[in-house]
Amino acid sequence: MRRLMLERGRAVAPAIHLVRVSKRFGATVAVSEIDLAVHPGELVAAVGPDGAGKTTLARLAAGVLAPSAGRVEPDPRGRVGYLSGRFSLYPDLTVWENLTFLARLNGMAPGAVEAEAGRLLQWTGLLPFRGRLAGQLSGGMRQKLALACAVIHRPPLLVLDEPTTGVDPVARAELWELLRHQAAEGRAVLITTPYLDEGESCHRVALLYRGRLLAAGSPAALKARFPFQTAVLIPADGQWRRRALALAAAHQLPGVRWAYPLGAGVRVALEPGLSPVPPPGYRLVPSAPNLEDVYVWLSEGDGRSDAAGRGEGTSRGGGRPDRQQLDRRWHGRWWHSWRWHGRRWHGPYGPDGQGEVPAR
Amino acid sequence: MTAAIETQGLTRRFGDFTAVDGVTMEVPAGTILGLLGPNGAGKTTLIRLLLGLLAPTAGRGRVLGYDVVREGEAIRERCGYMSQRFTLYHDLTPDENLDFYGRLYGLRGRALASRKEELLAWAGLRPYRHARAGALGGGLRQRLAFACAVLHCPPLLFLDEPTSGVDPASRRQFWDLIYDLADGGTTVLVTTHFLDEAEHCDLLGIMLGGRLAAFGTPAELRAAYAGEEGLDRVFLRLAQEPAT
Ligand SMILES: Nc1ncnc2c1ncn2[C@@H]1O[C@H](COP(=O)(O)OP(=O)(O)OP(=O)(O)O)[C@@H](O)[C@H]1O
Ligand SMILES: [Mg+2]
Repeated sequence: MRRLMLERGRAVAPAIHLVRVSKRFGATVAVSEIDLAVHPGELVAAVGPDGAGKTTLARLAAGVLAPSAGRVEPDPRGRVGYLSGRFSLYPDLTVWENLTFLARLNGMAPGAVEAEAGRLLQWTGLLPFRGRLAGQLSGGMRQKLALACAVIHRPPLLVLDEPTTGVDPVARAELWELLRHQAAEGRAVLITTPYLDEGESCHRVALLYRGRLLAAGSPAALKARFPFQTAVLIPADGQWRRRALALAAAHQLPGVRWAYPLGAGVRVALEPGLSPVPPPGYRLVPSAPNLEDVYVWLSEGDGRSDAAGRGEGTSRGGGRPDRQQLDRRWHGRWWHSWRWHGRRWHGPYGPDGQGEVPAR
Repeated sequence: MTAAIETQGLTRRFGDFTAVDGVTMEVPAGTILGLLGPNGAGKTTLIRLLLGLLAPTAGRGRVLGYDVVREGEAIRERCGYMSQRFTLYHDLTPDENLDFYGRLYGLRGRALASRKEELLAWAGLRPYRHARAGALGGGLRQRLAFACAVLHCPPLLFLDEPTSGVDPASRRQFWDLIYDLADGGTTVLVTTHFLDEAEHCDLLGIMLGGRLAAFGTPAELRAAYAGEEGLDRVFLRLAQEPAT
């Protein structure tokens, strides 16, 4: 297992390495033998559904929780900027006071504080509200301030638990800009998110499932491992039919591994090498695999092996998201669950304009 | 048709800052109203005004027929409210939180116990029923808060960003429940930053800088602002227009 990374010919040690950590709360195993490293300059997302262990993982990585087994090295305490789901803001200090107080608390030179605080408030759009008490901010504004407080003193390690929660879609794109910027400046950034598509813009993704690490690697590498072909089954007349009908039709396709409703149609995974014919009244549109497919595959057991995620690609080369594509992806796209495949945007309003929630 | 919510020029200022600016709307009983808008647009403040938790600086409002200024108590008794902030008791378990809220709303004995089981099962919280609520991850907390808000089957439900931080599959579950409630006659006011959710509301309000910049059915808004394009265009166009 290679844990060192080569950067300009030099070996770089990880900024944080969770070494086979487990965390139990009574009978519940929240995190089970997870091995994950984040290197300087890397943006890594831990992704999984509710209850997958994301928050516990973040707390372990931030050093606010001690593992039941395994170790976290080097000790993150004292060099981590941590955003927790529970706000650590002082409700009766102003926006400005919160930010500058935290910066000084973390040993930032007084001269540097003002300029940096101003810059971050400008970026978060909170500058006009610098004199407002933090307790009087809206939920999304509090989230942005908490994030600014976590990054202001430029810690070498950032652990951000669900930083995009409650942030409006326009601001969300800016937030991703900030996260990438933090990594580009050489910091190691570990975030958690319940949304797999947010993982697409990270260097590496750690897929969590019931406290276990299913796999970790660059989005490209993870998708390259996916063994099936993926497509979307869409009613040909463009009319939305009852989901159950489309789903039943999808299950009739030869070589179907699984099918789940998505947007206007049903997303299917099919055995490779077949060229299935859609049932009458439907179109079958090929679509490149996304992280969601990879996740379904791994969590349903087909691709699960204990080796998964252990031999994670430690070289960043192929996995670094293409900057231009990211810009296309996020710029002006304020609704984060758009997916880019097959040269088109797919999402709730994608080619077929249906949402992820059931139509009435 | 009776209106569940009716406001005229509802306004709230904090000092010289106007958080809610002359909101006039009418929401028929049994509809799902979605409120959209950037952070700080005034969505939460509007909900607090409607619940009588905050007094308006100007304007009037009636909720379930009760006046928001004089009869806030009656409104709060009859409404479910899932706040954007974490209002659960951190040191209590999901079980105890539901018990607590149930009793608060006058549920007792068998009725409470069976409703509680139903919601714990729906929320997938059974494995966590004896964990501290404060230790739950974001999505699980949201589910618990949602369960607490719907426990007593209120005729009017205020959901402030119920699905923020909730994974995609669970978001569908939330909406299945919201539809069930609406089909059963419950009026639901829900705020969200997810536009796919907006598409499935009966009525939409888009708030910008405290004003209700647009109000209507999704189809009406699409027709008025974006032709055949999606609601995302509507929102973007409105959000980019200079405030007047
Ligand atoms: N008690 C208060 N004193 C001063 N300003 C306040 C108070 N309460 C709310 N505000 C301000 O009113 C504005 C609207 O806040 P509100 O919480 O209603 O926004 P929101 O639309 O819910 O935003 P979000 O999407 O972030 O939840 C914000 O600028 C907020 O800071
Ligand atoms: Mg709010």
